[in-house]
Amino acid sequence: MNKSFDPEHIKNLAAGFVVDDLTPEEAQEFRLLLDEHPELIAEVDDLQEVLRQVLDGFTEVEAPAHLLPKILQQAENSTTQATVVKQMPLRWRRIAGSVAALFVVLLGVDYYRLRQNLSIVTAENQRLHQDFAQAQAVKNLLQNSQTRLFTFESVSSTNNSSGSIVINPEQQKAVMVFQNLPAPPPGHVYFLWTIVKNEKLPCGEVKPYSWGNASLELPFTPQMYQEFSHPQFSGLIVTLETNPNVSRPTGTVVMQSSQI
Amino acid sequence: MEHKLSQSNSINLSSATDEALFVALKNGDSAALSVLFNRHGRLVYGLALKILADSQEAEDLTQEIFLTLWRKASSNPDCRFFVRYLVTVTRSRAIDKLRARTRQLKLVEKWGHTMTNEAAPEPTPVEQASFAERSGRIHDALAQLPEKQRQVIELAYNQGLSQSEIAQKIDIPLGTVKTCTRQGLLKLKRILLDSDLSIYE
Repeated sequence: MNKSFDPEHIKNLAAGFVVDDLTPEEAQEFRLLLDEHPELIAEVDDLQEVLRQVLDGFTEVEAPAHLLPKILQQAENSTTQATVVKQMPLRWRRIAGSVAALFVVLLGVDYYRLRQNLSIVTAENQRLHQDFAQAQAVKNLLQNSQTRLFTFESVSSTNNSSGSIVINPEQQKAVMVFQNLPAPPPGHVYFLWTIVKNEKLPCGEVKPYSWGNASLELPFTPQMYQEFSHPQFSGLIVTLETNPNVSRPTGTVVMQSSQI
Repeated sequence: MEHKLSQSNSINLSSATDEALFVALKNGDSAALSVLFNRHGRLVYGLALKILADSQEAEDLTQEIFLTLWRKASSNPDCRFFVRYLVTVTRSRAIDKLRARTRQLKLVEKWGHTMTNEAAPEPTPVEQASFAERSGRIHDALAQLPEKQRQVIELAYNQGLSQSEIAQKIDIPLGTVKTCTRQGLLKLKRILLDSDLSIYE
């Protein structure tokens, strides 16, 4: 029997497709089968339903209620931006050749300036909001007796960047605050490491909403807290890396904590 | 926020198939996104939370996935098989994020600690009863599978391990993991679909 027409083989391919473990050759074969035999879609649908049931049975949480409004808001924003970009050329084509073109252009320039000003004010407002939120987060952390603070400084004498990390195990939160830290060169990222038993363990990318004087919340886990409170913890370093998925430091050390 | 569809259309959409919703999504209908989230948001968030063990990161990833659906609906043919797409993309992105974050930490050790410490909201008694019912039905079905098939499905979808991690953990070849996963799913289909406990209730 031709393998492609063997029902067991087809079911096996459908299952592999649903759990996404087909080899490229199997995937190609299954795509062709789907095109030739649309009735296979029902088999895939059934298997998808089983997979959904399995995950449903393992899941003991509901998605947070505030998540949908957040997603819809962002979706709406992205649509508005796309509409503005799409409509601009059309508008300019319509006024081209018109006697009133110059007047409209002048109005357009004025409108553009207003929009520019508005976007600057909006960005500044957003930055202040973020600053305020981070300041509140730091304040809340500092008010807690479990909080620990680490400071670090630039290793280069020509660079006066410095920073601190405030962590709280109860809230499972860590905030990193730094001063005068320039944006990394293109294609580079800053990466934070803990040093435990002389081994450097990755904490994550230093990625604030702006560079210079800013802060960021670290994705902090109990394991990371264990590293910070480990008896053989000897400090922190920030390195400049080219690969954001790096597992051990390969770039130059930019900052190091005062405990080193 | 103002959405494109009237309430009556939203009601119509709520009974639409995933495929119809995906078509609506391609046409820029944000109400379809809302219905899809209500239908599958828990699956994406729950799976992300299982793997990442961090509610904030799970939220971020869920948001990222639904926004990608919205922004790239017109150029994303994979979405035709919706559940498969969501599970695949959630697992792979969550595993990537986890690897980037804790490459040198012991995954299983981390799992044990963080899941018990996770500050997710407490479920209500009704939710607890619903979780218990769903969980009981799946565990009953899983119990009817051969040991290895049950094990690989639990490790993949309850503990969020990748296939190579499963192979390493239970010390079987990667090919066997694939076979067990596929055969396990096919057997579960027979058990769940052919039983009196119809999944389409």
